[in-house]
Amino acid sequence: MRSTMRAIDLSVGYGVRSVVSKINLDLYPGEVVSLLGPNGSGKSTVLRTLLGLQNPIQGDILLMGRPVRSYSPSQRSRLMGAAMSDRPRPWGLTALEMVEQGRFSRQPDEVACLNALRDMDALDLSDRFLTELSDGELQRVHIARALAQEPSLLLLDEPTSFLDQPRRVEVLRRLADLARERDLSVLLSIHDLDLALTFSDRCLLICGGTLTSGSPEDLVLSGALATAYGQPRGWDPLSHPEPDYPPVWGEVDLNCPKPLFRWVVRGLRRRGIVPGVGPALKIEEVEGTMFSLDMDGKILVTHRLDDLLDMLSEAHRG
Amino acid sequence: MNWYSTVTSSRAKVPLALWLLLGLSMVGAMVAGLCLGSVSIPPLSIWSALTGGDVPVSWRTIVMHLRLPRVLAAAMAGGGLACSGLMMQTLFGNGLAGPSVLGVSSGASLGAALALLLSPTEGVLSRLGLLGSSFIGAFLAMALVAVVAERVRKGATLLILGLMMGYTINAVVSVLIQWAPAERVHGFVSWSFGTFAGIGWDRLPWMGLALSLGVVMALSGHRLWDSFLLGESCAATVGADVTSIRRRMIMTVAILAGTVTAYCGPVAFLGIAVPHLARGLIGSARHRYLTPASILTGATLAVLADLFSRLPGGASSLPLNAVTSLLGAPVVAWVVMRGGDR
Repeated sequence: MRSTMRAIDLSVGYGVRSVVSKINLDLYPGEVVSLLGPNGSGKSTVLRTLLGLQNPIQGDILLMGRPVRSYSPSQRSRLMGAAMSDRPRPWGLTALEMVEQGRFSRQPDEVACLNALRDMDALDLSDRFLTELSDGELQRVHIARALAQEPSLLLLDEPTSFLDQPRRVEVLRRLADLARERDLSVLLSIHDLDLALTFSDRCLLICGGTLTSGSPEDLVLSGALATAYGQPRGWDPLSHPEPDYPPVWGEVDLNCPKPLFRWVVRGLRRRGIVPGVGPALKIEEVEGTMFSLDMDGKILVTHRLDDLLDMLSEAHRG
Repeated sequence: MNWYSTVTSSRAKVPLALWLLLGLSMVGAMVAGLCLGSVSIPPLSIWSALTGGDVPVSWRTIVMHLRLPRVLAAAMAGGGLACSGLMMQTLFGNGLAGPSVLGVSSGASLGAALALLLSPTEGVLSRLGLLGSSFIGAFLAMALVAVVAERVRKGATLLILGLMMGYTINAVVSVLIQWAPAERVHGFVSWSFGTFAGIGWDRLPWMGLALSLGVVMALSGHRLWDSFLLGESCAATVGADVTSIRRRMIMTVAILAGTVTAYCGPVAFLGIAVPHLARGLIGSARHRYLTPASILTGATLAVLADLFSRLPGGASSLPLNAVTSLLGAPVVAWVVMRGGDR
């Protein structure tokens, strides 16, 4: 398959100071590639250089098989769209007018712009002024602007940084779908390892001033990810830190449907209780979640775990 | 029916009524400028005077040879300054940019000072006169800004450099004034106050021609200027050729601001203030609307300012720059406070 973009022995940086060197990469149509690396490792610099906003120190960048410097700015923007980390918010432009800027090098086309806004779930923002948008909304508008360019390659610098958790998932899923449907190459830098590992076909990891490529799982198993982030070798990027739980003082005989189990156990541990042998705690889903605790034949029923735990603590103290 | 036909695009299109209001207020201001003065002439007689009807000879002389060229000059200069101010604010991404800020007016002042104060009796400078040397001064200043702009990418830095250049040139002008004979200083000082008077029918067409060229350049490039609203790196990603657009903008500004300053002196505040007013009226940053609105507003305000400056009548007329500053400064303060950062 022909690569959309290829970098050969690329060094990027400022002046003579190279930040990332010996970059060899290929981006293929229909694929989402995540660019990972800790803060300050040079993710944005790599993206800016690939985009042509700054000159490489060394090496070549080929866009559709031709050196990127041989394209005029407008030719380049028809092949390559981008939303970088500076998200300008000029006064007096609506979201749709901002997206229409993406048609700068193409025929103006309002339908294409509305389509791009719809792709980013931002159609309802079309008439709002940019100065009225939240950071997350502005971010989706900027991605829509890049999509309105109808590019073959999309470069996004932290496209999820200001979004709420469900929307992060939503935006990445849509980008992955778009990549597949339109044979679009997507290269995005991202801090959320969990999402990166879930939605990307391939990861590029900046580690020790150079670039390692591999499938997400491979980078975890080889320990490359742990090394790049300065973590112990066995570090699991998907695990979240546990809260500091108080000492355990009691057990309940937990009978709980599976989807709720994780959350109920967390709630119990927060108050010093673990599942085990003890009073029977039954959890059912009828008119919301119902907790019923069998205390020596006396049945306590509540709809909130907190209330139940309050009663338990009181019984324990008494 | 497609899904997008249900999306009602209620985007702020500028209503026709607003354009009519802007156009009519400009015409109204110009009529007032023709009617009022040391001798009041009723509007109907103005019409007769213009069309060659039955009016006293003195009135016809006043209208045709004193007030009409002056009002036309004021309107053209106001429109040109407002347009160049708008272009500079977009170019530098800063609402404080204007011809009087970035050294264009200072460059013109230096040229004018050289012509008026040193004024050799023969040689190139004497033949160039005030007009030519101040235009060349403005053009050289803008060219210097352009050369620096190729290196300095950041708008704010460029703005500060422009300010510093302005101070330096003004210092040189002060030194020239200090050395010059007193009777010549008066000529320079009255030029530096700014005036729309004294531009007769012989010079008006040239001023109009140069300004029309600049205005056509400004109006025709509205899509290019719009892309600059995104900031330079974002503009580059949508395919704008940032360097060539910047050159075109600097060229346009130099033509507009250089011409006005050469003919009318460094007129303060119109260049900075009017684009802010136009933004408040239009409610949009798109140059397609903002450029004509700035030009119309600038023309109206310049005619009114000129009218105010000569209302006291006779020789006791006020300096134009005092009027534009007195009117302009509070307006800018009010608009900026109300509208936040533009």
